Amino acid sequence: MNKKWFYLVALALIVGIIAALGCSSSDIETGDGVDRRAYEGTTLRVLLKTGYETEAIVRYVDEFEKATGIKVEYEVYDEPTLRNKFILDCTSRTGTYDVVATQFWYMPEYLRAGWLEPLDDYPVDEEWNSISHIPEGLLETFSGDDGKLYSIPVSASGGVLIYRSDLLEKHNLNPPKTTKDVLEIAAVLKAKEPDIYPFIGRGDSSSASFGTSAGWAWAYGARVMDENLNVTVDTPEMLEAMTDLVNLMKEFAPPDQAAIGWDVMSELFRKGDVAMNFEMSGFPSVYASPDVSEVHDKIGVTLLTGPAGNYAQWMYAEGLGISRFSKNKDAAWLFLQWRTSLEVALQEVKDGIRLDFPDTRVYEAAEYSAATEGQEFFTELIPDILASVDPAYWPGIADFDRVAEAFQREISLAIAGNQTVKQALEKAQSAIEAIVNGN
Amino acid sequence: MKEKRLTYLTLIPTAAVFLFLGLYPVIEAIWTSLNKYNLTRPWEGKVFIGLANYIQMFSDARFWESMGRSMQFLVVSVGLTFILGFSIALLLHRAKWFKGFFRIVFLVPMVVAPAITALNYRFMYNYKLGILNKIIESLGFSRVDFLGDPSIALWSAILVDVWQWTPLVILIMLAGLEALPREPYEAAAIDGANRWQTFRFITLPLLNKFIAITLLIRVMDVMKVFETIQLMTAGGPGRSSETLNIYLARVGFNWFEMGYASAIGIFTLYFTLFLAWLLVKKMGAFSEVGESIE
Repeated sequence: MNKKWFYLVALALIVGIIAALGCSSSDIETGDGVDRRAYEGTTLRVLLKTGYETEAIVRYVDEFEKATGIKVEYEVYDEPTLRNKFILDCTSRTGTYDVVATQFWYMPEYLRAGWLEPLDDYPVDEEWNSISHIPEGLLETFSGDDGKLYSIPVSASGGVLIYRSDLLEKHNLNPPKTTKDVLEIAAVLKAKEPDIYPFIGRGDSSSASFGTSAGWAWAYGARVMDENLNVTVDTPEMLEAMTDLVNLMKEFAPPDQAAIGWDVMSELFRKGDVAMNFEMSGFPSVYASPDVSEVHDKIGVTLLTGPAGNYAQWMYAEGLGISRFSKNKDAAWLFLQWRTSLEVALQEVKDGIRLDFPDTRVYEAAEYSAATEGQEFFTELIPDILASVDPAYWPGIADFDRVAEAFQREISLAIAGNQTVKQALEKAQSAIEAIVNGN
Repeated sequence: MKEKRLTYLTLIPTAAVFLFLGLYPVIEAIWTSLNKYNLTRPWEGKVFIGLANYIQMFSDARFWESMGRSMQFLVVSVGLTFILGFSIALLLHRAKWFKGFFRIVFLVPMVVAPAITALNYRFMYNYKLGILNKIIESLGFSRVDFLGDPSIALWSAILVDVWQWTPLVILIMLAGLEALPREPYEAAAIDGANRWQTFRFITLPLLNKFIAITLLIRVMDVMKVFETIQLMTAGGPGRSSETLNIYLARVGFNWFEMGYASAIGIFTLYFTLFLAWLLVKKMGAFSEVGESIE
């Protein structure tokens, strides 16, 4: 009897131990050989920018913490503050922040200073890693001259014209396809809808509004700097482009257009005060959300081309990188992979956070089709939007902020009526030349 | 002798804190201002260039333009807050009822953080959505482009500053008025002085110290104004509302030209100190009450 009990207890113990080992090994190695709990107890400090890229982290970070045992402390700031904090942290080499949100326009600056960690040599977590599903061109935006990747893209946007489909239908107007169409439709709407502003864009003097002017200009074949970094602001193409844009903003936009940045612009469109908005393609998701938009079901989106046959651009891409001075690089790498995973992207779709993703697998997922039903006006256009992005127009220099501010400052004054477009471009040309020449 | 030594000993902690928190950053800033130093070019490090940053500053048209706007802000904002605040304080001093109530009400703008005030006003000033324009329109006037018109933008920022800091002037001046001695007024009444003469030759001189301290605080405050403009216009449209602090922040924290930014910062510091010295010296901010009446 005693012997029998002994064997039973021993058997139960052996089964228990095997079961326990089995469970723990499946918990630890869900990432195909990557030990997700290897950095348990580590605290990561993450520096983020306000926007939908950050919302997923705020909402789902508990799941990452549960899966890895890594604690995440995040700070969310506006873009200039984020850049300031990261630069000051890198300058003092304290490594306060492990992970940083990287806007593509600051990548040349960060890479020149050597503040980001190359990501190519870290072990891949097959389940979370999405890099092989992100378009090559977008990855190049976040790569250095050495060909190494320094940030994983989290979002990517192109330039679109968002319009009020109800107003266009009401007046038998076809959605605009060219910059000229936008001017013509604006004139019609001004006459027929006196309570609505026909057009809006970013017109203030900050570098954050530069994308509107520079992106519009590309449709006319104009750019601020050519591939050899020569300043090309005073060309006839740029004059034509900016004359049309300034005219749109002076004649058809709210009178305070010269002081309007993305936030007021978005507010006015969502309240139904504006008919057309030239912006980055991240915005239709926001305008189509019934939670924040009074015109969520009256929206159309289209791509614009200009006299040069180019698509009007509003390129934006944001990634996540690891600070060169981080003391928790491996844990940070795990976080980057989790944040850009298909699993998180599909959760974002399901929760209505956004509709556009750099990971191309998202668009093929059944969850995506189900969650975006009724928003095909935008989702069907996403592949075309991504294909339309042409980084050639962007001045990819480390002093981007100064160049952008110098250009936009003069355009803003032209919108306000303080100077002609020609005068604005002449001043911008000499100001940018001085910056490029280091004066 | 022993007592003197004890006095010096007790001063040591204060002096140490002052040296560490007050003097060291200034010395460091002066040293940085003598160097070419850009944080986004860490491989260049600090390169000593002597007074080149100061020479650049004095020949920088943008610096002088922003200095001019700062002076405009200073004169208008300090002038308006003082005139309004002093007038309201005089009215309240004579008021028999609700004095306490108004004192609390006037505290409200001051306790709101300048950043919150600026963000609120940004929307209140908005041409289409702003409540101010709705009120203006309901009164039969046409809407005003407060922040989008380059000729108005800076004035709009000044108005916010006046709204926020007039209550401070009211409170200080009211405290001053209530602390005035009765005797000079009684003597003036016996001598047959009228109201204006009493105000001009008794009230004003007696309040001199309060006036000087109020102006001193306001001048230093205005020279520090940053959030109000940054959050409402970011210096725009164009550069129409770019004051010295906005330009300084742009050079320092957008372009990270720390050497040049330090030069502008040091200039601003000493310019503000000079204005403060003028007020202290010429208006007797720290003289005895009534000294100036003699």
